[in-house]
Amino acid sequence: MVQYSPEADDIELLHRARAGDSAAFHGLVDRHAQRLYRLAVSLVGNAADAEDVLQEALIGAFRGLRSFEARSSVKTWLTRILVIQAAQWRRSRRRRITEPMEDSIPAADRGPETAMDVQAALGQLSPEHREVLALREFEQMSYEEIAQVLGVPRGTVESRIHRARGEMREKLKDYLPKED
Amino acid sequence: MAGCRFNEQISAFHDGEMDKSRRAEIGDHLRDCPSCAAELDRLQAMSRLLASAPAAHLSQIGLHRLHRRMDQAMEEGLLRFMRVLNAVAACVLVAGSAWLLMKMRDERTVEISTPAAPPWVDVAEVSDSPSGAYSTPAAAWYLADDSGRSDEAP
Repeated sequence: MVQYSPEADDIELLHRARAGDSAAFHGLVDRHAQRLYRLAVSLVGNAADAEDVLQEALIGAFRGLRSFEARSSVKTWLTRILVIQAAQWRRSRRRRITEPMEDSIPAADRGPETAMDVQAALGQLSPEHREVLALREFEQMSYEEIAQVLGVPRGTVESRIHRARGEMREKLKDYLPKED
Repeated sequence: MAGCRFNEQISAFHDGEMDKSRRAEIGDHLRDCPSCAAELDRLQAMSRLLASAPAAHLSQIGLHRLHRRMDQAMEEGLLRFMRVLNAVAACVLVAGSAWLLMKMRDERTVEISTPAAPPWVDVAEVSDSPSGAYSTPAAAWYLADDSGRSDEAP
């Protein structure tokens, strides 16, 4: 397999992959896999499903190489595909089992005792709030990028982040400075 | 805190998602509003807490699995393309064969419907039509020569 230098930018790799160079697509996978996997775990709540979601997202990206129009960065494009794939996973999961995702995580009334509980608290948020918070806090994306990923106006992102943080503050209140 | 009209904007301030003038305005406000300053402290503490959560890491085996699955997807794509190509080739073959068969049948039908002319073909074929069309020059000559004859009995 051809190894691409780190200097070769994402767009170049994408154009080569589009032209049929499979090594270039593998290069893109290498470059984004860790970041996307971390985000997938935040969105679906467990490692095994996160890997499945990531696989499906990357296969979707490969099949949709021609649909990339460079209106956003490759990073934003891949993230958007992953978020959509995670939403599809949630829907199919809801069809298979009727329990909400929250039930598979530690009980809500248990206080956050370890750093792992941060992830559990995130899993208890609504999908919309979980998405914006993960994209902002873990991916360090700007509001504009998050708006592109989620396909919503920037103002919606701003208000969702505000509400998501309010919800998260309630769940993690033992770890945060006390309110007056 | 809850009553402060700037409260909802502290989140955007914390994220650096404000233009310069707005940022300066909120910065001034934070100096005078303890509840908004406390809100900012909480947001900063929450971001630190989230950043401290152990990041999920895709193992080398997981990454290898991912690459293998990508290879499979690429092969599937190639196979799908080959299948489409095969289907198109089969369609062309069937259509070509059908066309050839029809052409051969048409040629045979023409041969059967137009047999070789018999020796009496030059004999006049008198038409019953009022226009009196005759099929051969011989018939025309015969009738022209017959103009003086009478069919009536003497």
